[in-house]
Amino acid sequence: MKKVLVANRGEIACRVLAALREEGIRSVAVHSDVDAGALHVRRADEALAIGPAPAAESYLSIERIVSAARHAGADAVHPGYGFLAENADFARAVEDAGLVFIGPRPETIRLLGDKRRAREVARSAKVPVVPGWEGDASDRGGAARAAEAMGWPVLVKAALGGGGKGMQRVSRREELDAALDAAQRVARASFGSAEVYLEKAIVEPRHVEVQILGDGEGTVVHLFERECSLQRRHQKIIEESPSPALSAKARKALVKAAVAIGEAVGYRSAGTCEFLLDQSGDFWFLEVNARIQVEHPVTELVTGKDLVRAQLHVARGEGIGFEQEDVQPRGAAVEARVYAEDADHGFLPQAGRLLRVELPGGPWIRVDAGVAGGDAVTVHYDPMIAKVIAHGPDRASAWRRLARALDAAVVHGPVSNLDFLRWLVRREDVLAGEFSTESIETVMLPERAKRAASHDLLAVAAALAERFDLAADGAGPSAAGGSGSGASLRRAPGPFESLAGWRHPGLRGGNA
Amino acid sequence: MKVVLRLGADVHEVEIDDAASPLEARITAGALSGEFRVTPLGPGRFRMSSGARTWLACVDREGALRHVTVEGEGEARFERETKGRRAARDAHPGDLSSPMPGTVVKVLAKVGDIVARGQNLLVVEAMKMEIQVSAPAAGWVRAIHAAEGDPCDAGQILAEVEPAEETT
Repeated sequence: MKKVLVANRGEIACRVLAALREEGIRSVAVHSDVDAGALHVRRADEALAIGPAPAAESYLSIERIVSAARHAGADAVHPGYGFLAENADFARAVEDAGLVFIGPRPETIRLLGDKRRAREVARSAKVPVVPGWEGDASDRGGAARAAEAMGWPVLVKAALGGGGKGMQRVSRREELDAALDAAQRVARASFGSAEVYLEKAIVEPRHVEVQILGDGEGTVVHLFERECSLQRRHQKIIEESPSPALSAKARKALVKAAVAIGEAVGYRSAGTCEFLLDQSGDFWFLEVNARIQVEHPVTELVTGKDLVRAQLHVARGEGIGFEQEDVQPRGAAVEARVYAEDADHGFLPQAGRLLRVELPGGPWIRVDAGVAGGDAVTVHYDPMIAKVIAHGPDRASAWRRLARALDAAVVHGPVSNLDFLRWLVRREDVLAGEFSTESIETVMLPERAKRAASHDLLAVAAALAERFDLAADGAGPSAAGGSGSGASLRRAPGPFESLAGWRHPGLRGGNA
Repeated sequence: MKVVLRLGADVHEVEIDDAASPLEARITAGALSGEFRVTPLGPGRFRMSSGARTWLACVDREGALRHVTVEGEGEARFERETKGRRAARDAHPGDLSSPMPGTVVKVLAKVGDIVARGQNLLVVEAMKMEIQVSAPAAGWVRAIHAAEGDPCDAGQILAEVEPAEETT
């Protein structure tokens, strides 16, 4: 494998590029017109323009990406997460073009992409599945009877969906038909299929997931679990490992279940088995994400294993690279996602130029950023700025380190959720590990809305800056190159970026 | 001097007066008051201290915006208001504002003039370009807030036109 095309952008593209550099593999980035000067483009050995800003015409275009891979002479394609990562047709197209797809087999992606079939796989592996019903949704009588038997409330989910997208919650029989209609409409529009299924709505569940790696030849290892209950509208905000809610016995059963599911499909590459933990501590299979995930750094820090490099090894036919006994967790890690979102106004995504992005370094802190000062956050893609992850010998110290790191971070430009994160990581319930997937929306945000925040000291700082002319002028970092002046201080490269010895000479083959 | 900072619906009026030493000032902001000393640390970066307490601050200016982060205290995006200027949020349909930071080089109208929609009332020079700032509506000039040679910020209100009632 001499050259890999990274079919993504932002922080995950940068992450994959770092792994490629460590492996001595030449990298090709792809970018839309508006991303021509983006960080992932600057970090790659070569870059190809693949279309205008709208994702449908660039990062989601199977044709353009496969054609770019061929044009660049790539041997393999890494899909990242999101975009085409779980598009079985894309994986198939890459393989049909004679290239290696760095991920699961296309059939596995297709199988697990149908959440009903994924539930069947779990059942066949003797894993408890969230009580539900996968009958024909046009059989409204059958659906209603099943829902009554499960007990209200029930959830209507898209079969080809995932992550709660398009989900409808139904509390009474009278609402079921309308909810089925709505869910089917959304499903058809978003996923191309109106197939839906029902699941019992578990009360105040916790979201706990297990990282797996398979060699595609029958061996599947797990890398323990991540707790991802701190989420809002099914968007994770903070993730950690280990889960504070699992007993040793429950953990053992959970990871065993995840491996069983992976083995049942002969899983290849990285994946995550998601479960819901109910209030009695029992777990129920939810779905499998057949891709590398946003929160993978949490697992990497706790286990010391490089998941992306493991994907590369598997893709080269070299196996996972380690055995289950080699996976020994140490301490705890917690990740916060910094987004350009206005947390005080419905988390509306924000766009604009980043005047300054100073993310903390230091021991025990890892930062995975997709942007630097001077770069723009646009409306076309997700507004992620960076992931800040802290590691510690125990949960309390990891969270403390994360809090200090967030305090030291500066993101100026579009409104970000940084202040919200700083507030969240100090909450007693959060530090005690006492929350469910509903806590942020039902308990925490209402409290935040009522708080009386004082900005007097910040006003003093602003006034002092006026009086003594201390403010940096952020008015104009240069456009295309993203190379800011003055105020756009850049983060110093971390260890993953500065392994210069692995870079090929003659870098930057330039934009074709 | 007084620095007026708007944050959402809140207005912070900060009184700053010089103190005995340079880089020191007497400040009152809401419930906070005291003597503050500053130590510049780099572009947009400084330490501020009062008594035994010390904070690390970072301020970036973007037009009328002041992006402020103080370590351990959070952040705010203030809008600076000064005499003769209103924050863009209060802008009326007849207000003329400068699209970018620059210098007012020509004032072509005076208070009381009747103007047509699109009529140029001021010229701002920025980045070696001349930008015509024109009346957004037909009416009469109620106020001019800048004189030739004045610097201006992006979004700063330079003049006000009282729109005439349209008859259709």
